[in-house]
Amino acid sequence: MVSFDPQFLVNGIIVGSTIALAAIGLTLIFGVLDFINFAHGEYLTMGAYAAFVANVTLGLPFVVAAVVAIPVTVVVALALDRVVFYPLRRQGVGGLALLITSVGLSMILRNGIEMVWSSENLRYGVSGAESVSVLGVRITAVQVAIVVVSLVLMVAIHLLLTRTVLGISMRATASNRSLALSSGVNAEGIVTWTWVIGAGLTAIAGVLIGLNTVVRPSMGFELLLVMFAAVILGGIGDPYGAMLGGLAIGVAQEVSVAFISSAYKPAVAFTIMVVLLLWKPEGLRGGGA
Amino acid sequence: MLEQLSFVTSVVTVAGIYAILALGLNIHWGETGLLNFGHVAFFAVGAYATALLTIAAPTATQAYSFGFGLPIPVGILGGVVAAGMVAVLLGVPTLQLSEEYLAIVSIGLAEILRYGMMNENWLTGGVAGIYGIDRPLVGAVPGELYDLFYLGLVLAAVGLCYAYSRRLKRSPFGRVLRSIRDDDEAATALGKNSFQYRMQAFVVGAMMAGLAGALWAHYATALTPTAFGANITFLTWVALIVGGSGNARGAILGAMLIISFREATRYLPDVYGLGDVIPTLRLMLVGVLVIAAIRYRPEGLLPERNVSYAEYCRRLDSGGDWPW
Repeated sequence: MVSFDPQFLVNGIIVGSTIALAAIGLTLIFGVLDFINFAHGEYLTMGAYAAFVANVTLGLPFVVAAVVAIPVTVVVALALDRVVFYPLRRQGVGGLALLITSVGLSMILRNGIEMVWSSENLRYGVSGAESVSVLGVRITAVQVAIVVVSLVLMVAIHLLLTRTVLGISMRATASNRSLALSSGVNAEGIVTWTWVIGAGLTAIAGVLIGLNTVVRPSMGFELLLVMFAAVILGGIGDPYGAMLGGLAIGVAQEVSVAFISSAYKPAVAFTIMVVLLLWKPEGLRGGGA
Repeated sequence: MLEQLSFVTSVVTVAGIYAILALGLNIHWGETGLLNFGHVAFFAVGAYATALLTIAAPTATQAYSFGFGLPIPVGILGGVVAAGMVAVLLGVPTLQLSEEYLAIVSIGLAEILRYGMMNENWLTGGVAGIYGIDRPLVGAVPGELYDLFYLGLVLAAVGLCYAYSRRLKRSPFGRVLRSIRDDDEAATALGKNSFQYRMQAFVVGAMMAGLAGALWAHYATALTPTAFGANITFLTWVALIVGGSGNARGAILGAMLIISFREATRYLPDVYGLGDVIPTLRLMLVGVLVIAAIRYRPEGLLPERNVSYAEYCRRLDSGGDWPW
């Protein structure tokens, strides 16, 4: 047994907080639109690449580039919803058709990004990689910023969901669509705002993950499994669950490095997910087809 | 002339292997409504299982540490059984829950298996893979006819899976599967154990994918993890949806069309310097096809055809043959 190194815990919180942001986006979209978006990972990749273009190609300061990535990703997400998902919603087909469609969309986006930027690893032009040692734990200024930004956004989401009419309508639509509709909630309006918030959070998550590691076309797809695990851990459709699930999965993955090969980090998320499905499926809020 | 013939033979062989994959997925999605996004996992398990069972014991220079040198039929059977066992393991946590869980867990399993293939050198040879897998009857069939012989083998396997799928359309078992697909609760209310039926269907479809993998292993004679990416799953899905899910002929037609399309674009001349982007462009087109098929023709080119009970009885009386 290896003696426990707090470094892994800190790494886990850094990774987990970014996963949590992306998982909130995924779970909100599932709750309101009632389908699992397999293209969600590509929205994360888009955010990272939008910031890359603004930061490296156009030479904007990184913080500006990160902020610019949000509206870019949101506009693309809304356009894709209009072109790809809205016609199916209007036809009234079930969540499974939407799910399969999102798999196709994922292939288009991932390969489209690879076609333009090739599959090489890209980095932002950011300094701040020098680590300082606090209580025996190495951490960089960038990593502190990543955690702070994630936590601030999680608090903001909490306030939005509990204190605003929009947030309450979103939760109402997620928990009982027909009741929400009959109470005067504008369904398509809520759908639009869900994409705005979900894609926006995911874009930031992509930028932060790109900052912590590298930017490449498959980054989002590789995280899809981890995001799903976070969402399932927290209960599908539950944003608070996604926050906790994301942090828990991130910590579990990083701590596992002390015991098993780091190549199997995603396998840790997968194992947690399967054990949970076996142990407590009734606690998970699975949507009907 | 001979060159063209051998090209056509190789394309049809690969298309036949994909047809078996699509027939397996048709039993999952088309007949039972199981959202399996990890089909490549069964394909890979079938391929690696038969490879390890049939190759000779490794020499000191090889990374993997197993090799049993068993006859090829035993290897293929082993591949089929191994794929079925993986399906049981995957089905236990997911088939009692709503459809989306299988989708998530199966896509996850396929990715984890790929990490395993790349990292467990002792078992799979790692990134370098396994080479020198035997081809069946390679000494007995003259070399210039060998590809045609193997094509015949693959087509026989397609025929076997097709015959099973056809049988499923009129067997009581197949009717229960379709009732579970269309209305799970009604089937349960009529006393059908839907978990058990789903599991059986899942295992049968996975075994077909395992068979496809085993045939692929003995055709390609070399296996590397890069050949088992998620794209195989997605190509199979496109084949099934475009061809017509719930229709075995549709699955075969879809596989033939998709593979012909893929092979045709592979040899496109590098017009306008497009050579580099063709692989990604091709996968983008696959994605477009999925979206277009779901929106404009969700029933596929050859839609599912089920007969009513009245027609079923009438045909049974007249002893006539079946129209599909």
